[in-house]
Order: sequence, then C-alpha cells, then structure tokens
Amino acid sequence: MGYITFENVCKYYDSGSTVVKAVDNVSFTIEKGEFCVVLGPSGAGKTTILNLLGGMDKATSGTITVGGKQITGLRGPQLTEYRRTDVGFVFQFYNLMPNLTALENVELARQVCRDALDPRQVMEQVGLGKRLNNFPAQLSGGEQQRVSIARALCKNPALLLCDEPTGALDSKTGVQVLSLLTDVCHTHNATVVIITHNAMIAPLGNRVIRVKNGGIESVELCEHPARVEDIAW
Amino acid sequence: MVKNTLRRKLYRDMSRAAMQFLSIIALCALGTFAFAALDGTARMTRTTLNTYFEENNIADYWITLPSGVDRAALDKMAAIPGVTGVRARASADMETGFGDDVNLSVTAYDGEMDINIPLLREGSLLDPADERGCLVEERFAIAHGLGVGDRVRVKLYGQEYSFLVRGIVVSPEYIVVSDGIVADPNAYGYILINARAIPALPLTQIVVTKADSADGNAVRAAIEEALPDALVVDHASHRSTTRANNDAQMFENMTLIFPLLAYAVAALIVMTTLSRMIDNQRLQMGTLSALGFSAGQIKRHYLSYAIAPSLIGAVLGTLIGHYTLPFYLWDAFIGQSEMPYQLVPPISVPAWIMTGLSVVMSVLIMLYSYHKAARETTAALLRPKPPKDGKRILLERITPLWTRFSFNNKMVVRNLMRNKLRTFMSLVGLLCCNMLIITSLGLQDSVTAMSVNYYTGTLGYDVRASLKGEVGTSESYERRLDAERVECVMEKSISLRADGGTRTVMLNILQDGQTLQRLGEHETHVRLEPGMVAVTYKLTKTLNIHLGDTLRLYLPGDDEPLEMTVGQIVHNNVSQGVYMNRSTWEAQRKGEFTPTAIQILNPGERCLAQLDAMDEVDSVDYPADQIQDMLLMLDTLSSVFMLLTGIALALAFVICYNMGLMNFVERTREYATLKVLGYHQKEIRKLILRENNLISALGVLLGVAPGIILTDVILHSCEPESGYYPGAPTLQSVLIACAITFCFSYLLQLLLTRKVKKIDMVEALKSVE
Repeated sequence: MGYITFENVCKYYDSGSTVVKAVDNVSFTIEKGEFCVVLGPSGAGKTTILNLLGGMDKATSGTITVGGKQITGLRGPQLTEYRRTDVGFVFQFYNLMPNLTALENVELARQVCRDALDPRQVMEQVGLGKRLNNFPAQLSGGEQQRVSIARALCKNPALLLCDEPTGALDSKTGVQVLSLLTDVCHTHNATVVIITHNAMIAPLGNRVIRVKNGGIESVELCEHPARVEDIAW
Repeated sequence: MVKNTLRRKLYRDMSRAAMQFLSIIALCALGTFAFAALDGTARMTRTTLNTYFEENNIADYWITLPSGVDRAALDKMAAIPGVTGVRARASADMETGFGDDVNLSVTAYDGEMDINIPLLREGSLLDPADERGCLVEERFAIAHGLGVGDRVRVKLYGQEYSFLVRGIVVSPEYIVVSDGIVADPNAYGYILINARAIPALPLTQIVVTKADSADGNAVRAAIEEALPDALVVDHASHRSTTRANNDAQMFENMTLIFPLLAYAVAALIVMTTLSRMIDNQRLQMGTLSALGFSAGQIKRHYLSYAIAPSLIGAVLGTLIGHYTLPFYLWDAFIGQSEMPYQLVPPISVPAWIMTGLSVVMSVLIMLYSYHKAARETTAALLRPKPPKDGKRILLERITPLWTRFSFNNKMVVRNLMRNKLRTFMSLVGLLCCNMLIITSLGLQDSVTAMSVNYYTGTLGYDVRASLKGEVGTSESYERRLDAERVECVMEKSISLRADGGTRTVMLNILQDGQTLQRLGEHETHVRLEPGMVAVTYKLTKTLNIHLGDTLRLYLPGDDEPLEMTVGQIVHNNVSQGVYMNRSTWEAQRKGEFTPTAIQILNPGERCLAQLDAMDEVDSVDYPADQIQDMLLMLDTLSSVFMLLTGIALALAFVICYNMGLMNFVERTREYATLKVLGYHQKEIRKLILRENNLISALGVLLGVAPGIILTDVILHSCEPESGYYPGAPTLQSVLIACAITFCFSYLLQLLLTRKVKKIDMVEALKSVE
C-alpha cells in the first residue's frame, strides 16, 4: 500500500452525445517522500490526474487514497479541508495575487492553515529573502514561481503538486526551480508530484509515470535519479 | 459569410454575458423611463390645460369693481389696445335648497357666455335670453343626483330663486372647485345663470381676454390705469388657474432635476460597464485583427455591442415611461382638479433626445475604448494585458495604523485601491442611490412637516370664523365670545407694487400685541413693528424687497396708494402677503378696523353656538381639520414621491448588481486560485462581502448630505409662488434610506457571491486569457 494510490480511477466527461474518457481505468501508487514525474503529451490525461489528486475534480469511478485518506469519498467542505492542510499547489502561471507583495502572497496560505511555517523563513529558503516587499509585477518569472512554491511550502504540506512548474520559464530559471523542488523533497520529506510534457525532467524522478491516451503507459522506478545540474535541457 | 460568423459571435457573447447586457438594458431603460414618465405627465397636463383654456376662451383678467360695473367701464376696457373681449358678470356664493352646509358659487353673465365658455357634458348651453335656466357643475350634479330638467334653488338676501337645469357643464375657470382646501362636490359647486335672472345681484366683475400677442404687463397696467379702484386678478393669481398651473409646473420642475440625475447616474454606470467589456475583449480583438478582419469590420462588430443594448433599453424605457405612468399619475393629479378630458401628447422631442443621447453616449464610449485598444499593435493585443500592478497605498505609510490591520483587511483595502475606477463607480452609484432615496423620502417628510408646522405652529388658534356683511367691532367679539382668547384680523386683497414688480396679495392687519399668529422663522412669536409693514420672506424674494424699502399698497376702490416702509421680514410658508398692526392701519386713515375673521383659542362650551347664532359668520374653520385636508391633498404628491422612490430603488438594485457582477467577472481567476489554495467558500464570500461593505458604507455616508440638499432644491423648484417649502428630511428617513441602500447592496452581494460555488478551480490552472 503506497502513500498515494489510484485504483481503477475513471474520469468521463459527458458532453451530450459523446463521452470523452479523459482518464480511463488508471491504477498506480506513489510512495511517501518520492519525487514523482507524471509525463505525457498534451491531451493524455495528466492534468485530469492532477485535478483528481488535488481534490479539484471528482472521479467518475474508482478510489484514490492519499496518506490513508480516501479522497474519492470526500464531500465539498472536506475536500477544501484536504486542499488546505494536505496539499500544496504550484501553478504553471504562478497565480499570485497581483495586489499582494511576495511575502503577503505567502502569508495568504498561512491564513488558512493551522501549522504553517514562518513565511519569512520559507521566503529565505527559496532565496527571496531580499524581495519580500516586492509585488509580483516587479519580479521575474522564475522569482514569481519561487514565490508560488514558497506559498505552497508555507503550509508544510505532505504533498506538493506542481502543474508544469517550468512551463513558462526559460531553461536557466527552470533549472533553479527544479532544484528547489528536489531540495524540498529531501529537506521537508514531502512527496512531490510534477506534471509535465517535458521529457527532460523525467530523469529527476524516483518514479516516472508515463501517461498516454487516458491510460498508464509505463511506470519506471529509479534508485538514483539524476541531479538537476546534470540533466541536459 | 464573414459577417455572419461575426454576428454569431456577437449573439454568443451576448448570451454568455447575458446578465451584463441585461443590466445595461435595464440601466438605459431606467434612465429614459423616469424622464419620459414625468415629462409625459407634465405634457399631458399642459396640453390638456392649454387646449381647454384656448378652446373655451379663458379670461386673461378678472377685474372686480366694488362700486359696480357700468357701460363706461366696459368701454374703457374694450378700448385698451390688445384687449379682444370684455364681459360684465356678477358672482356670489349663495346658500342652496340642498341643505344648510351646501353652498353654490353663482356666476351670472350679462349677455352671452363667450369668455370662460363652459364645456357641455349633457343637455344644452344657456340662451342669453333664458331667465329660468341654469348650467350646473358636473361633479355637483353627480353628487346631488341632478339631471337636465331638475330644479336648483339658491337664496340671496333671504329671497329664494329657482332654476331649471338646462345643461351639465365643466368650466375652464373652475379647474379647482373648493371654498376650502379639498374639493367636496357634496358641499360646494357652481352654477352659471344669466344676470337678468337675479336683478338684485349687482354686476361687479369684468372678465377680459387679450390677444396672444399683446404684452400682459402692459395690458394689466392699462387696466389699472383706466380703473384705478379695481382689483385685477390675472392667471398668476387666479385661484383655480393658478393651482392647475402650479401642479403642471411642479411636474415640469420635477422632470428637470430628479430624472436628469437618475439618467446621469445610469449613463455613468453604463459607460463604465461598456468600456470594461471592451477592455476584457482585447485578446479577441487582437485575434480578429490577426485573422485579417479589417479595422472597420471589428469596429462595427463592437459597436453593435453598444448600440443593441442601449437602443433596446432606451427606447423601451421611453415607451413604457410615456404610455403607462402618466395615466397613473394623472389619476392622482385630477383627484383635486376637474379636468375636461385627457389629451395624450406624442412623445416629446426632449424625451426622444434623451433616448438618442443614451445610444450616442454608449457609442462614444465604445469608440473611445475601441480606439484606445486599436492604437496598440495586433501583436500587443494578442499578448495578455499585464495584470495591474499592486502598489503601496498611502495608508501603508502610516505604519502604526497599517500594522493593526488584519491580513484580510489589508487585502481588502489594497484591492479597493488597485481598482480605483470600479471602486469609484460603485461609490458614486451607491452615493447617488442613497441621495435619491433620501430625497424621495425627504420630500414626503418635508411636505408633511410643512403642513403640520403651518397649522399647528404658524396658526396658534383652534377656530377661525370668517365674517361677512354687517360686522361688529373686535372688542364686541372679545367680550361676547366664550373662549380663552379671541383676536380679530382684517384681511384685504391689495395690489402691492414694489420695484421688483406687482402682485395681488393679502394685507393682514393684526391686533396690536396679538399672539395667535406666529410669524417667526421657526413658528416663533414675532411682534410687529408699529408704523411699518412686515413682508413675508418668499414675497421679498419674488419682488426683490429689502428692509427699509418703501412699498405702495393699492386698496381696491381707492386710487391713492398707501406708502409704507418695510420694517420686518416675517415667515409664512403657505401664503405670502403683507402684515401690519391695527394701530398702524388706523393711523393711515383708510378706514376702520373691520374684522374679516375671528381667531379663537380654546373655545368654551358655548362658543360654537354663539358663532352659529351670528348672522355675519360666513364659515368656521378648524386648523386641526384643515391639517387633515392638507395632508389628504398632499397624497397627490405622494404618488409622485412613491414613483421617485421606486426609480431610486430600481436604480440602486441594477447598479449594485452591475458593479458586483463586474467585480466578479474580472476576478474569477483570483477566486479560483484562493479556492485551490484551500479557502473555504465561506471565507472567499466573506472577503468579497467585506470589500463591498466598505464601499457601501462609504457611499451611503457620502450620499447623506447631497440627499438633504437635493430635497431642498427640488422642493423649492416645485413650490408655487405663494409657498415657501423648505426641505426637511427627518433623521428617521435618512436612517431608513441609508439602511435600505446598504441592505440592498449587501443582499445583492450575498446573492452574487453564491456564484463562488460555481467557480471551476481548473480555471486557475489554465493560462491567462
């Protein structure tokens, strides 16, 4: 029994005459503390997997458990509770509140979380100790993504979900962000799940799940994943 | 084909943003609705009155000659340039055979009724040779079940005269038929007869018409010169026509201020919404442009965005406003007046202009927003507009204060400052709504307060008996009547000439040391200066009179004017005139102090019987009853005020909804992110509500002062020349208005924030649109 398990999970979108099978009968497990990469071309169903895992969408059938908690059985407010305490999100387009400073964006997460970390310390940790009072518009893309990661970390989540975290970044800043995420995985002992279409990232994962046409193509385990500095971008 | 696709996009956009388009339609409709409704009522009244007066040849002057009308006087009148018609008449109020309290105003024509021609409802008009027939007022006839061929008996000097009803009529000079405040056809009406039918009734009145082109003041001056002892009454002072005109004027003045404000507010919100809608379409604009659509095609596409809703809304508002409410207001309006018929004028040019203006303004703001966007390159349009930067706000620099704010409050304040335009528009919208609601409630308060203040404040007595005929001395009444206090007054209609013009007003001669009329500004007691006259405040404004000015007072039947100095300004909100002491009057040697009315405080048990027994007592009035009559009459106004309140509320509703919706539409992504971060729906709603409440509270507070001022402005704009109506909204009304506006805004937000539930979190993960 892994930390995260998907058992025969299906997600169908019913659009009148046709039924779109976004995720069809998917099963996999992820162990606690793993750095997991979910890889697949666009339309393969990886975002749907993330949505289901993050409690943002409900599966048509099947069960999902995270840390012993059955997500598929949760109702609205319980799902919110799950999102606020167990999951940290990192978005492709950062989704920072434009009218809050970097520090305040991190504090935003602390607002809803009981045992949050100190936002200033988290900002130090992501290397933005000197940009606390800047507004998102005054930060570069990489810096904004680091604020977004800090916001997710601040909640001290057991699970960090990242949707194309480097998708909007150039390679250099992309590397910085990825190395930050691998650090987090080790220092916080958090489970990190990264969703990406970028095959270059795959070597970083302890576990690489390849998704294709709404199903699992393969699951690879890797004892000694590559270091961020070593991957060819 | 291309055109069709664009049109399809337009329809889809409209149905997707249906609520926003609907709110624009509603706002445009409300703006033109208020104007069209009041403008329609005013024009309906005016058109009807003017047509009635024109077709039935209403007199321009009613000239009373106490000494009697002779051939020479008529010839003099006819010889004045501009005069087109002259007719001698007699007129008197008479007791009737219908009961003790039923009186008829009898007007006897010497010859044909060619001036103030009655409008026949039934039967036939009176032949000038017919000495046995009469024409009866329609409402009086209905109240007493009279028909053609029935008999009407009246008494003059103890002699009874009997007439056969030849016709049932209404008369243009009796738009308002009443000897008190409220028309009561059971107790009072009028008949028209030929003068030869009652030889004992002396001809004392001449009615005169003038050519439309003749100058009214010149003709009036010529009449006063030819007949120096005559009392001349023109349209401005004739009781019935004045009241009809005042009512029409009131509607006209209201059409000016209130609807224009409502219109302006609506237009403001429509323009903001439209410009925001275009801003939010920039990416699509860029796409269309990149696809090779010409600038003209794109412009036309977005113009239909503006034209369609504003045209539909404005035209709908005008049509509904013009063809529904005037009929409803008219009913309330003619509750007091006797209108001959109802003419429905076409929609007026100003109303069409307002309609057109709505469309033009929408088009202009659309063109402005379009050109602002079109200045950028297609490539720039295709890139998402960088989200507006957050900025430090002034408040943050006050560190001790800022640090005390909770995190959520900081966020709320920053948000408000970040989107200044939307904040400002919401603020203005709420401010105006509160202002309009305060005004509509305040108007009602003010007219009520005014009648209460007048009848219980200015008038300090309990009973007033009007006298006529053989009158005793004031001392004899004081001695004879059983009451705590008895004071006599002498009232005379005079012609007052000052540098600022001439008016027929009442000269009130009060006992020295009188206490029963309180003429101070707040119904306080004022001692009249001996040797001088006091003039009411409004009259000093109308005729530009100042303290120390010399006035000429022409008494009827006397060509030597009294020259008096203005020593005081007094206050009477209901009737304007000139006051002096009895001793001052007696010193002028223009006649005895002959009481025309007795004012009685705390009448004893025998008092009413004593008054009843006096032949000279013409009528007895009780201010306590009159206040009820007055309030009843003000019910006419109530329907107008209710309409105004309704419009203000509807406006408040649409504005709050519109601004809330705009906020929501533009920030869906932010809310979606909060949701993903684990904010409960309740918490997000609380954030939105807190933001909204802050604006509401501020807008509501800022609307209080303008509301109070607007009440005053509107009241003064619709007061008649004889009245002075100060605006006095009560604290209660102000609080109610504030509560209504705030609750409206709050409830609407509550409704809107339910949409938080529907926000799709996946939205947050998508790219910025």
